Amino acid sequence: MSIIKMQKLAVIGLDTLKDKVIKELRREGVVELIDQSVKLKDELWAENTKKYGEDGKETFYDNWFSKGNQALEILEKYSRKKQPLFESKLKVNRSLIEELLLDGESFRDKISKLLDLNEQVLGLKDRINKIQQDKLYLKPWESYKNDLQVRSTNTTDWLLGTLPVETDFEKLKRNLEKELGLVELRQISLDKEMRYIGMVFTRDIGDKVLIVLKEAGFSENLFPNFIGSPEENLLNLQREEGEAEEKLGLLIKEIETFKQYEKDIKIYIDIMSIGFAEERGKDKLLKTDRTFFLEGWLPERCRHIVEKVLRENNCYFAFSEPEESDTVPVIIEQNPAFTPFEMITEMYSLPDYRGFDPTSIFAVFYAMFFGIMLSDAGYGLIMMIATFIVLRKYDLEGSAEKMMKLFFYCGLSTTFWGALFGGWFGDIFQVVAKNFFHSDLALEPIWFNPINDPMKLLIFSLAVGTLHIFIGMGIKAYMEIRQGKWFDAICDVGFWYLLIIGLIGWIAGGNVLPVVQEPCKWMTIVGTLGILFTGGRSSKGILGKLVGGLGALYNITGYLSDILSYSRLLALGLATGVIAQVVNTMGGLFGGGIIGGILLLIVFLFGHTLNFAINALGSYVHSCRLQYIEFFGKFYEDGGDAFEPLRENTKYIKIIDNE
Amino acid sequence: MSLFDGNTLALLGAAVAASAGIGSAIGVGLAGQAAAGVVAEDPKKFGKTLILQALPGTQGIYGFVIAFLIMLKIGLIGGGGMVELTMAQGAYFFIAGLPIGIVGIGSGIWQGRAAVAALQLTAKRPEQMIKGIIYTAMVETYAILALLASALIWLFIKL
Repeated sequence: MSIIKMQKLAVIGLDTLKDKVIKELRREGVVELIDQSVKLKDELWAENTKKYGEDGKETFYDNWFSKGNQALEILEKYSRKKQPLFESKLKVNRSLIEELLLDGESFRDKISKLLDLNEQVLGLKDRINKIQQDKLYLKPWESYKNDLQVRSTNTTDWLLGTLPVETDFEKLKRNLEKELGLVELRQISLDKEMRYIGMVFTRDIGDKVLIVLKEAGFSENLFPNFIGSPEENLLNLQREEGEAEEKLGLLIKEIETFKQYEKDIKIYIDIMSIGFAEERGKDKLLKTDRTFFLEGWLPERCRHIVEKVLRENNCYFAFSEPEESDTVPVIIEQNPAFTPFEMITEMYSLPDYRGFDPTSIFAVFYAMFFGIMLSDAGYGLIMMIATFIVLRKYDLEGSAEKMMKLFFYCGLSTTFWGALFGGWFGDIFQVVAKNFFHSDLALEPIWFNPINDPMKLLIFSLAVGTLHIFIGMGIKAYMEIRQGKWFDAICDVGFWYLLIIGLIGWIAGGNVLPVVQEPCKWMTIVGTLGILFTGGRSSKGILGKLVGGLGALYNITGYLSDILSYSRLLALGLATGVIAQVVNTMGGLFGGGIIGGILLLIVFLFGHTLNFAINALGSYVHSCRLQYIEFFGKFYEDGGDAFEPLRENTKYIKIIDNE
Repeated sequence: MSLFDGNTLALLGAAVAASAGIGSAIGVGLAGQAAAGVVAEDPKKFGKTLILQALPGTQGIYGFVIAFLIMLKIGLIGGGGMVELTMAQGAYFFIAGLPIGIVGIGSGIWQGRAAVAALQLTAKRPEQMIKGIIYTAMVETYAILALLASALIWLFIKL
């Protein structure tokens, strides 16, 4: 439950050793390099140092990184197997990494070959497309038996073209033949929109024919790309298409054979990203003629590792504490049991380096809220089993592992609360017992059933909520005391404790323990007066202080709504329970027997899957919300930048040292 | 037994509660349109968009829960036959249906709009999806409170 202490590192070393130092720092993965280009704005720095120039390596790695990813996409596209949801990382020896960074010719060949094959496939697909269009274009002309290029004899011209179907063809034909004489007009084919016609006429009346045709909506078809009759052309196209398809099939088969290199490609992609990160890191350095200069952040506890690397490379170096003006990168750390809950903190935003990491404090509450909201032991068991299997079967890392473990805990808590409230897939045991065995056997809740006594759960929810909020306020007080602001802690937190506890005891305490009512009354009064007189202490003037005090006291509405917000624990818990019961009731409508059993099973599977999906999502989201708004709102200082060291950040591989 | 008695009023309450589904239908519809747009660009986002689309669907479910509870308590479901309610009792059940029925519609629609915005966020920055989900879920708070109000009224009606 803490933010790890950082130190700043400054190093000067020999330029000749720069690559080696960076490589070794990358391997250790504990130093975040600070970009030094801002220093060049300073005249003294600018005169003596400059940045490293571009040597093409960065672009090379970047280029092959994206090519590798393209190749992988192609493989995925043509592979028939579905991608698994989780994947364990490939184990790769370190020696291979260093070797491939310098030379990966054979890997690049495979990637290039694959990209080239894909280009060919795309080209062929274009070609097939074109052929199909041509076929469509020629199809209506199939019964025209002449060479498409021959359009005239010594005395006649020939025309081929289309008329809209609306044009009265017979009338047009009569008009042309009667009035102009030597014209022969024939329909070649007809479809829904067009009439395809051919005609012959003596050359001397050509102009007149064209005028009449134009009025009728004629448009001429030329066939610049086709020699010979339509039929011959169609046959050719058919054959060409067949060949292209065949070739396409072969190419795709060849691409599929590359599936065996998928691992190699994945390895190479990761290596390129390592190389790229390393080159990027070098951009952040400054150099003189013979030396390099770097600055970075590192966790204090990793100092000895870095010291060793730098000593071996004869560097001058110094460690220093972060200064007030520094933006220090943040790593949070907990007891391993609470690590999965870091996901929730990270999603909101990391705490400021000088702030407070509440992860292990809210972890218990998070799991508890989730459990109360989902509140069905059956659902909880399914979550536990599913996440357990995934964790066992796959070697997960990072956020995937955190998430699975988080859901395992949530499942555990759901099972616990579900058993307390007596929810096992709703009341499925009762329904089955009644329908099939005619017995009144029921799984009794260990504590109580919220559907029968919601007030009890409501009060419990609000009490847990109040405790949650009080802890949040307590952290605020702790942070203020840590900075030496005792008075602020008493005013901002102490008086509110008095007021809220007092108010609850004064109003509700009478029913339980009448003795507490009187002291609670006085606690309320002291708290109220305290807030009223100190709430405006930062404002100027008496009026300002008075208004500030009243404003602070008005915050009571904020606390009230925060506490009432926890009523969602009851509401969502009820929703799960009632819907589960509705599902079981509907499934039970068919009575006993085999058919009743089958129908119950179908309704059960469908209904409970749906209920689980909706309510698990709801529980996840609303547990987050209760942390973010109600809890974090009391004290959290966010805005920390995550610590991003120069390291081997891989997606597919796990590097194994075997030296 | 006249056409309009306490039981009629109570069933009307169940009907009003179930009408919260109007809000969900609109909300899920809006989100679905936006989701289809996102998937058109990138079919791999189907799973993510489906979650966001489902979020405004809860109001309808809450409404149904209250409707079911009312039907259960007045004995419409359960095989024992309907309880004879007085006009006043019927009116109580009717009123029990109002909070979730009314709030569900508004909250469903606006949650749908928030989901649309969250979908656009997901299209541009898929890694930020969870934040979109949280924004969207904020709207649901009021539907939950209404569900609670309805459930408490329902609970304390004496037969």
